[in-house]
Amino acid sequence: MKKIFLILISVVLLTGCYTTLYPPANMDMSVSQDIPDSARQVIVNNYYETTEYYQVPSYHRYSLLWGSYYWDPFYYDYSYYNWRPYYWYGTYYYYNPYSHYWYYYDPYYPWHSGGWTGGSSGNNGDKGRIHKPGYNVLMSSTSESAPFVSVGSNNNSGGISKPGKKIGIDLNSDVTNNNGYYSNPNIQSLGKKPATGTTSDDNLKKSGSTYKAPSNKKPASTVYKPQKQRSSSSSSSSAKSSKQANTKSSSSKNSRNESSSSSSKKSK
Amino acid sequence: MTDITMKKTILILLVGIFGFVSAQELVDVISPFYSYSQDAFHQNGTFDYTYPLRTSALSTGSPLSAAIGHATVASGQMIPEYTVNPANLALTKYSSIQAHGLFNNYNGVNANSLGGINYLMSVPVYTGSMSFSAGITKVRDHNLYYQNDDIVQRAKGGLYNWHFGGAMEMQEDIYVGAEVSLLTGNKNNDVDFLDPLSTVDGFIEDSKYFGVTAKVGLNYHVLPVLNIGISMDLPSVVDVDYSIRNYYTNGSGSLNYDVTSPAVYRAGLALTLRIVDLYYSYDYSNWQNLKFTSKEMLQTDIDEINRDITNNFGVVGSHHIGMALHVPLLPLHFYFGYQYMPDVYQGLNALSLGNLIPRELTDRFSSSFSWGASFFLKQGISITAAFETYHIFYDDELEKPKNVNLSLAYYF
Repeated sequence: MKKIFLILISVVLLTGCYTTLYPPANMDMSVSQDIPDSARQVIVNNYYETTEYYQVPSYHRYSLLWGSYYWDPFYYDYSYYNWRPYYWYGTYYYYNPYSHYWYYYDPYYPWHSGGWTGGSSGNNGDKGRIHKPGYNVLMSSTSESAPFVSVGSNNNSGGISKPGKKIGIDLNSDVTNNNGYYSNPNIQSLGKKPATGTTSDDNLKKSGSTYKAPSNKKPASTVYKPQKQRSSSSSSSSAKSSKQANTKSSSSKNSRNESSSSSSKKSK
Repeated sequence: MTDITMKKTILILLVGIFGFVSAQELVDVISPFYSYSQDAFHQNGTFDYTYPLRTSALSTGSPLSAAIGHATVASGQMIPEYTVNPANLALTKYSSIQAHGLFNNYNGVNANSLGGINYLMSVPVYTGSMSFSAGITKVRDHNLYYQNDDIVQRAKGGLYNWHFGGAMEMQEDIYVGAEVSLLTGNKNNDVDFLDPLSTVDGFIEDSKYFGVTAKVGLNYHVLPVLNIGISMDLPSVVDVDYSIRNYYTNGSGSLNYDVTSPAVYRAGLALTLRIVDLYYSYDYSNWQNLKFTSKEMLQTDIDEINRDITNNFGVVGSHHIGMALHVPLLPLHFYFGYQYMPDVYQGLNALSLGNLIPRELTDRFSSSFSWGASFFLKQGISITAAFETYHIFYDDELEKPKNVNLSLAYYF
């Protein structure tokens, strides 16, 4: 038994290490000036911290006591096992390879509706924990950029036709099923069923009814599917829409940027 | 074994006269690691008789681990705390601080102690997973109370593990981990002879432990719902400062010796479903590999003790079974566990129970039933309670020592 154990350990150790502290040099976006901020994204595997724990669907449970979802480290929902996490501007986006839907955590709906009963650790409490000292900025993100904003061919001043490939992440591969059939990715809040109409050919917009702005509860945060945006010839309208969305969701975005700073160690 | 046990009798007599110690017994040698009992001889001035010489080393640990019967070889992300397999660390994606207290009851006598303080840290990485842990955990509890017509025995103490471990994802879904530990602890054993004609009224043994050990482990996340784990506890080397004194006697004798425990091999699996998790672990150790050395004893005595180890101890295979129940719609979890732990005495362990063993000898194993519950007070803060009840037969009497483990943990 001892020999078997040592052989197994040796084989695992000698076949390389899957864990990497930093991205490969050809994927180091922090030193590349050619990649627009809007195209900077990182795949983050297996690391979550306080500011993101709401965003990890595997550990979500609903509590009747609090009337909301909460992060439960003693619970693991295996149905989310194959969801791939993508990190973009302080927010985790999840791609479900089976349904071809994109998901992301919306902190104001529906996971977190009103904070904890009888405590002060609700929304305000979470915001207070967003910034962690000692973390470097993950990327030089600008508050003007929105997740999955258009970086189409006409908007390719940095010479990047497919930002996903440029940084080693091909979003096309994520929206093609096993039969090679192209299906549009859809972005939805976690825990919500795919909304009808979200698969239209138009730029995908997250339903305003599913989003509550942090302060005034106004609908905001337009999110675009990357494929359509890249292939769109009317990038100006896309950019305009995205900027408009950023303006509307600026308060939320600022929080996200702070979150990104707290998560900077993921890629550095 | 008779010669060895006779030495203690002589020793006790000598302590009162010369304040000198020269020999140990099997029960002393194995006491830091495993429960054991044997008969020792004593004189009451008129005739010799035997009395039970016992030591208890109940397994303790982190509260969730205790609740599922220490079946944590493959528990992975479901038991995010200090476990027997350091590779489990890498499946925990966040940091945590946990403190717990241990409350033991053995035949009505209580002992309270620190159960442990542990810190788990998840390191940000680009791909894969990397985690570290540091802390102190009580791994053995020596509390014991026993009384019969001849003696009253009171023992207390425990063995603490100061550990530092690390783990990472070496291949996708294959996690390996390692841990180095310092072992510290003590044991106080008080034996009171009730016979008024006894040559001595009683004696007190003090043992102080200091040692080192290490673990390595592997956990393979085979399926989204299935973990398979193996781990190995490398042999522990423990230095023992032993002293003995008689009642109403100022003088005492002391002895220093080293004990090297055998390696423990573990294998198990964990099935993690949405509502229910199932855990199983199997431990294998060959206690004939226990080694005794001392620079203060005659080599002939050392050889005799090592011969006794080979002749009396055997292979032990322990089974650990656990279950977790995640209560829907409530931040509440229940845990249940069972352990089957054979005695180290050769021929009477799990591997030979199928043979024709005299009925009166088949009580040389212990088992435990455990359960526990965890509740989240608020996001990231949980309280956990674990209750273990051991079933130990001694002299045809059933003893039920109990461990209660209370914990407060913060996950962040």
